[in-house]
Amino acid sequence: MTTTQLPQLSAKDFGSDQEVRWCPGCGDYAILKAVQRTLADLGVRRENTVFVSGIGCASRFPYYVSTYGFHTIHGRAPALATGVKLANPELDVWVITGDGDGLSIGGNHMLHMLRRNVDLQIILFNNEVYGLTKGQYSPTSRRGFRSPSTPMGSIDNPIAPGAFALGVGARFVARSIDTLTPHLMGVLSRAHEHKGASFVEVFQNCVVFNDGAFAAFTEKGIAVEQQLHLEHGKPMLFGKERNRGIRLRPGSIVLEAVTLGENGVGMEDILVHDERDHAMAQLLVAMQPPQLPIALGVIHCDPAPTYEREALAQLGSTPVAELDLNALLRKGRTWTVPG
Amino acid sequence: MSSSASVATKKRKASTPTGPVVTTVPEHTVEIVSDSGEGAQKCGQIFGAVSARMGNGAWTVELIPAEIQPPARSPAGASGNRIRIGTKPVTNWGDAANLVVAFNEQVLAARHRLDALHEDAIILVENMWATHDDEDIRREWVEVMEELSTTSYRIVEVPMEEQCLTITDNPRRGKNMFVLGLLSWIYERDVETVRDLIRLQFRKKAAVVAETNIALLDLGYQWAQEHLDFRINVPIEKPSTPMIVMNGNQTLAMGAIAAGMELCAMYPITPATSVSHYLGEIFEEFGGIVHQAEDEIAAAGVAIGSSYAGKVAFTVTSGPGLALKTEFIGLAVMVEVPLVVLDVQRGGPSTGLPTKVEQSDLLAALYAQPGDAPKVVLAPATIEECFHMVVTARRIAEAIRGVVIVLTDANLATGVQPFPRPNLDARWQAAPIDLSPVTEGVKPYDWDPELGLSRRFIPGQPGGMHTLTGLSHDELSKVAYDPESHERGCAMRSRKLAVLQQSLKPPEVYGDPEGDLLVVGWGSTKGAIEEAVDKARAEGLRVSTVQLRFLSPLEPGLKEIFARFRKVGTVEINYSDRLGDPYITVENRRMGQLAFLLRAHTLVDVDCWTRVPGQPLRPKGILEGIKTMLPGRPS
Repeated sequence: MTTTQLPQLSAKDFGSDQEVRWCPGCGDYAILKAVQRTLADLGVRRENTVFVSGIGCASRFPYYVSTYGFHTIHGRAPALATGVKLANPELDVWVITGDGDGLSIGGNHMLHMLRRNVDLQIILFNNEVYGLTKGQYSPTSRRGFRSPSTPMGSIDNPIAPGAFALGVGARFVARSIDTLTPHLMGVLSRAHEHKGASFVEVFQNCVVFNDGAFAAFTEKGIAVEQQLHLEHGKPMLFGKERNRGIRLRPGSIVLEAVTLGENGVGMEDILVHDERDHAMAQLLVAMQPPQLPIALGVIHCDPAPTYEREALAQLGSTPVAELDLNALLRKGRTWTVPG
Repeated sequence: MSSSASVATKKRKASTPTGPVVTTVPEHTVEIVSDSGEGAQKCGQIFGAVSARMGNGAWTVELIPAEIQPPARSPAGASGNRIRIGTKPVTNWGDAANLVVAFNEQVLAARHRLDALHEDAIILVENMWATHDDEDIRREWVEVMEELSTTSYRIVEVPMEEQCLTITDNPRRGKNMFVLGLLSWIYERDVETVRDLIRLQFRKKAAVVAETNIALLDLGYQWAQEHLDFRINVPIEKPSTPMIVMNGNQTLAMGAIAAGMELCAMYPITPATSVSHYLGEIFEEFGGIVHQAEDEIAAAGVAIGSSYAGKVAFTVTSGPGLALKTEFIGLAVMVEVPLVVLDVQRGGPSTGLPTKVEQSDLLAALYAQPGDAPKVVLAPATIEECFHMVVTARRIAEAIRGVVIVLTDANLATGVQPFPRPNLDARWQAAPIDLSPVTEGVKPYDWDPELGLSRRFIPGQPGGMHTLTGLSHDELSKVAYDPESHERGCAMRSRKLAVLQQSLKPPEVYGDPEGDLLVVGWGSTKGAIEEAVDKARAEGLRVSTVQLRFLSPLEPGLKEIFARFRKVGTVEINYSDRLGDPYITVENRRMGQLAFLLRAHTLVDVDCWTRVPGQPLRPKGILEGIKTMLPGRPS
């Protein structure tokens, strides 16, 4: 890589000349802005950056950034992105997907990309609904959700994206909210920094088909009481007064929210976040308001060797162009009849 | 009749102190059949390979049951090999077997009932079943021997088990080598070459394994020498150039390396998987990656992603996998990312005949994508062509920024044939992609308005940033739904094929350039069709044939070639309705897939004779087909 000084790019430089076509008020705008600002802050090179997406509202994202991009087919972005990384591990790849694209039609590919630990960032825009096809229920829609395809209410149990990612072996799982820009940018930076598959779920409000889906923890006034912002090494405190905390209910492996100073609860009872603790991560992603706050930030980060590095390490060093095919054609189960 | 044959054998043995009678023939077809897992295939492969190595023409076909372990002694489980050897090159598996080695009478009966055996076939059959402890087995033996008593086969009982027990306590694992010894003596094979091949076969096991197998080989050889009164001599004409002996899947793998492929993305599927196995044995040494994806769809996605990012990539599959890759192939066509897809065809539809040959993916390869998705479809006609076709496919895919599907089949995949050893040509390898910064103003689809061709740039290249999309788009790769842009994109993607067609030569006609019937084939049927045409011509019929390698675009000049024949008909291994069957009319008749295509492109009233037997066509069958298609007769 060249060492010449590169011009400093601004968030604007990462915008494209294409007209953004999301509905007015869509949470996607805020995520786009956060990504563009993060890319500028990180100082990435546009020509080395690739956004790969599937199909859905979120998947239009690559059009709106001035890097390389690939708007592929429904659910299959992880497969294509895996190929990109195998071909050129130097490329900085972001996979943009939604709850339907990434967990319904593309669930299988998501699973395998995560377990292989391909070094890229996945941003899953979770709005708990199919937007582009006008409001059908998605795999993250809650039970009872009424939609054109579930007029009497969904009877499916929803999937929890973070729990899914942890379950299939993701080494980096984080969560943020579309409009929580500084927090989201911090999470995206951490995802970018992490070597391996970084899974970021963003709660994204669909104003048209599922407005207010996350109001229980995003509404002004209650947000601060219903959001737990995790930081590695820091106690799990939340609330306006920072006097609420998370602890293990004594004698169990169940989390509970407690108030400092009440019922003899002290700081020593409050859990301290350890990103490498996989078991705790699974408890944290499962927390649901109003009984427990929603866990945001880097829930789990425990780096492991990446897929493409290990794949390339297995390879020999002879360039294909220099191979001796004639020697090859005498090897193993091939042989020649003397002429 | 077995007992008398057995007696006769003994009699001959006693009365032939002068040695065996050697019959010299221009060619001979051998079958080795056993229960699955008894190693008949290994025996057949080595026998075929040693014959080819000695300089005989050879063609081997695997006889494969669909299950890994079907019940023992069941006709459905008959597994093994047919090896046709000749003085001259052999191009197909022939008609009927001249000599059969059967590990039990049930698998022998299966081959008999399939009409696979020549009426004067010599049969060597394991006779332990005649005296087996199990009464049912003894009865089954007698029933089959009675069934065969009406034939003119010459049956020789061989105590394989009894003999092998003198060397190994598990004859089930060693009988195949004993049989290889029998065959080596009968066909005068070079035993040291056979021993070498056995050592190669077991090179990864303890040395004692190879030595035990060699001892069994020698035992079989010795037994034959002492007990058989006939030998068969297929004279050898040494080839003038060094030959290489491989099966079609191995050849595809070698071709992939020769073509400069760097990544093979696959998902296990019969009968295509072994391409990646052969490749995996050597690919990594040369920086190549075999990636087993989570499914067929992902395998296509990984190949497209790799190609998009600058690696030379392909995916290999069979019919059901091709179906699953459909949408991704459409994407590659739409975004003009080079992609080679190898489809080793098997019987369909659905799971169909997983291990058996068919040529029924042609129209799926051409038209499976919803929307208009022009792509190149090639079909190698021989095992040798499998090698060069991968090189051709790779070059075309890059030249036109498009998808090339190569259709081989289960016959080519497992068939073994010697062919002249290729010498690597640097031009077979992909030229490095121009990675220089993209000049401002160059568009991602800078289509030459006449040719539809454009330069491709890849991620990492400064100045070239753009977003590829499966949506309809303009030259800038911007989403464009307007009528002009969509028309233009479709035209440019289609034009490339027309341009490619202009660079092709018309196909060569085998036989006279004019006549009563032109048989058109594609893929692995070439050898059998030409042999049938030779037979037809020997009978005075005015028949010629042409084998197409390019199915999309079709080779040029077909209309002219067709015009010189009174009638044109295809021979294919796929299903077509037969006129005369209930409800079938010329309007509703399902045609052979190539016939369908040729009719559409040439407006010639192309007929077809197709069969789906789950095995390669035999020249004899094709000859009958030729006769039904000859003008003036109902087809």
